[in-house]
Amino acid sequence: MSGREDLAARQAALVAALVAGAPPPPGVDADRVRAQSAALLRKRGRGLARTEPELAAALGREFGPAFAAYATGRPQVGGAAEDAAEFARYLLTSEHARDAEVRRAARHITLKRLLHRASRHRDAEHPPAPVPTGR
Amino acid sequence: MRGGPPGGHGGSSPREIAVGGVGIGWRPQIDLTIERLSAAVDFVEIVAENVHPGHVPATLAALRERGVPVIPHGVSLSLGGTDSLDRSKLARLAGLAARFEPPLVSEHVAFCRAGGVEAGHLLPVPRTRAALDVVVANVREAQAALPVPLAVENIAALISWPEDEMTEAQFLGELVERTGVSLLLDVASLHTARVNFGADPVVALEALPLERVAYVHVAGGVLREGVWHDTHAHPVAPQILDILAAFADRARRRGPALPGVLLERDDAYPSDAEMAAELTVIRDIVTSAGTGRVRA
Ligand SMILES: [Fe+2]
Repeated sequence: MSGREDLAARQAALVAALVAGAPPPPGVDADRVRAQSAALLRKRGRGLARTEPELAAALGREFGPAFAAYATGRPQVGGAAEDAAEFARYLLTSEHARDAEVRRAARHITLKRLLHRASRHRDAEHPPAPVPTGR
Repeated sequence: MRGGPPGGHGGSSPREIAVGGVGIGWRPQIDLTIERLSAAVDFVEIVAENVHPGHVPATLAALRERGVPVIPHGVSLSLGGTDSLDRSKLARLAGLAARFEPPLVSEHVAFCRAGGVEAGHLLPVPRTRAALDVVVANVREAQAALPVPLAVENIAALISWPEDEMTEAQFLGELVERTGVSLLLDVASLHTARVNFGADPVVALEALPLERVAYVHVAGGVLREGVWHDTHAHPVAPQILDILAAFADRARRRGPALPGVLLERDDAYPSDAEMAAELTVIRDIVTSAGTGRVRA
């Protein structure tokens, strides 16, 4: 393998360990990978809660565990708004859907996403969804 | 806007100072706070991914109108990645540079995705020769696509690679030498490297090409189970301010003008008074640098 291919494989292995539950790349500290993974999940959850505060409020204390159950092993695709729509879809098929407030907020988000997609087709100028600030 | 650094400074190497004074990361959540503290804010930075050049928020446009430098700061270009650079992200940076006419734009020495999967965060590049070649090529490509100079930042990492062949200072030094890129020095990241990997910040400051530092980041974080998390959601710890002072002392030896120092805050925003107090502490450190005055 060339240096570049080797590097690509190592980087892909780390990302897979962080967001898709793969084992840590050989030689990389497993505890640190877990810590980084947990930090990523917290950051992603905060971004989603900021985007959809009503859903976060409806879930209350259940937000953390519900989000962790949804996001573990499920890499984020797109920005926080797309993530929120996926999370909402997940919630509607979970036990959390028994709560009327959660159900209402989740349905609202999925509907909003559908409308957004439709309007994007018409308006190519639309600014892309914000991504969380990074470090 | 392009061109050499401002002249008139002493020292043997060209200085790279692009902005001076004290700055703050502009975020929509604290735009009014920044407005109220504007007398204490010399420049701001915006997250490139979150500001569209054609849809600039009014509060931000007003700052620029008043002559406050606005530096676009990318967080997802993945200059350390082996995937080819995302042209739309480069175009965004260039578009913001055209809109705000900043002295430079900045990004990170990091990768954010691999094999088509987004990590959602800045991850450390293995410090090998092969990786350095990749970063050099990406930085050159970015430089060619941008209408203003580029500065790259050292990140706060939790993970390190067993194949590392160089220190971070060596890696950054070679990158600067080969590409002419400027540095955005994050002193909170130096603290993170000390806690998480035992890397001495003073040794790093001695080894880095400080004359190439365009501006500086400072930010708060938190210690969780022995690991430093650079959260940008906590007050700036005294140990981080000490690294800032150590940097400022060294920079002062090269001439009277110091690079600007910018406070990054991304979450759990404090009151205006607390924010103002943090900016004052930073300004005091910068202005007292090299005078031998001991900080309390
Ligand atoms: Fe930073």
